[in-house]
Amino acid sequence: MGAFQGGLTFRRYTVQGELPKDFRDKFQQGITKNAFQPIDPAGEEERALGWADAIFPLETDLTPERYLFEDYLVLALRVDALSVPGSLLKLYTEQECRRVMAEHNKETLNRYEKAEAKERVKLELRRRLLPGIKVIDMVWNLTDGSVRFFASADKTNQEFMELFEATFDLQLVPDSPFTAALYGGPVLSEALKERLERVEPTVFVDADVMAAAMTEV
Amino acid sequence: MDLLDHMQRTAFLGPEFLTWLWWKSEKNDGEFQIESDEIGPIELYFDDRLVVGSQLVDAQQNHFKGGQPATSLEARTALKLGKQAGEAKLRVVVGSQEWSFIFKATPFQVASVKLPAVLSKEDDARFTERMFLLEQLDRIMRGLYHQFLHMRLSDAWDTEVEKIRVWVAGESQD
Repeated sequence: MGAFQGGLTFRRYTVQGELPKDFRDKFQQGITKNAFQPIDPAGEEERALGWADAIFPLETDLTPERYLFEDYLVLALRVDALSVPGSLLKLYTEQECRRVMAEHNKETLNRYEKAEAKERVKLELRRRLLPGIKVIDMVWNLTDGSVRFFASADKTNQEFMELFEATFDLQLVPDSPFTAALYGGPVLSEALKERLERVEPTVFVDADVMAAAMTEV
Repeated sequence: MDLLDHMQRTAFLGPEFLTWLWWKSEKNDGEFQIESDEIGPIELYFDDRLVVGSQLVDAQQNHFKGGQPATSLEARTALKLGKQAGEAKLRVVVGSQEWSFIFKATPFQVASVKLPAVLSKEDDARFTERMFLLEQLDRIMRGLYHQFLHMRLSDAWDTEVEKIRVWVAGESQD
């Protein structure tokens, strides 16, 4: 969420380097290659991640008309998760074990038979469950090289950076007091840049004022 | 030293910047001048949320919510103990437009941004308007940060720090 509606909490990045001359073609290839692919319920995968349409995230056939808005490239990072809740798996495995015991007229099942029953149940439940879908917008201003990713969690941002760099073959630098001094704002002189690299912390209180405050609290 | 090392080593500049903004906003009744043709005069106020702490020593963080924490005795005491502003809810006013947001100083991030009213209803136009307003806020914050940096990295910083210390001590200035 973020680009078109909803909350505006994001991390800002700066793209390093110039856009390649044939960036539209290259980007299309990268986006197609890294577009979201649904989880196969018959497989083992519990999580899938890739690009989707920011307006309608179930659409993953991504063409420039869907992701280019004037000077902006807008995509959604879609993350699907398909995991069978442990309590559900336990209940239905017990049901399956009872069914097998009744069918074969057995008092108990050995560990291999129980494991097989559990796998069958897990597969069946995966087929019946819908994945949870999380969608986070990414907006790239192609003119000034700024990128906004509308999530603040470290893990999600790390996954976003990796996918971005794999898709566009360009590096991202996150905002910080150091990088905000260098990118995206007024230009610092070379002399100030050198001072920035050597700057030391300042204390905004005199020692006697601090000592007096410490005795008060 | 690589970029990541520089980012970690200079993280203290974020809280210093936010504390400087706090002092400056109080001293100038919220008025700032951004040296840009696109922006010009702005007003910046500290709102009803403030976090103070210290990156240099292992001290407790103080979270203030409600009222006007920037002018509270408790927040001032925290400053006297050597703490600095780590996070604050800010209001920026330019003409008839107002942005409200939380600024997190150490990662240099904004969160929970409330934009001036967006008028467009269509997806495309609404998106362009939202982005323009977000980028406008970014230009304002970067403009203020560069004002701070020009002072912070110059020989005039020592004089500026003396004035901030007088304010922290609660003595009258000028």
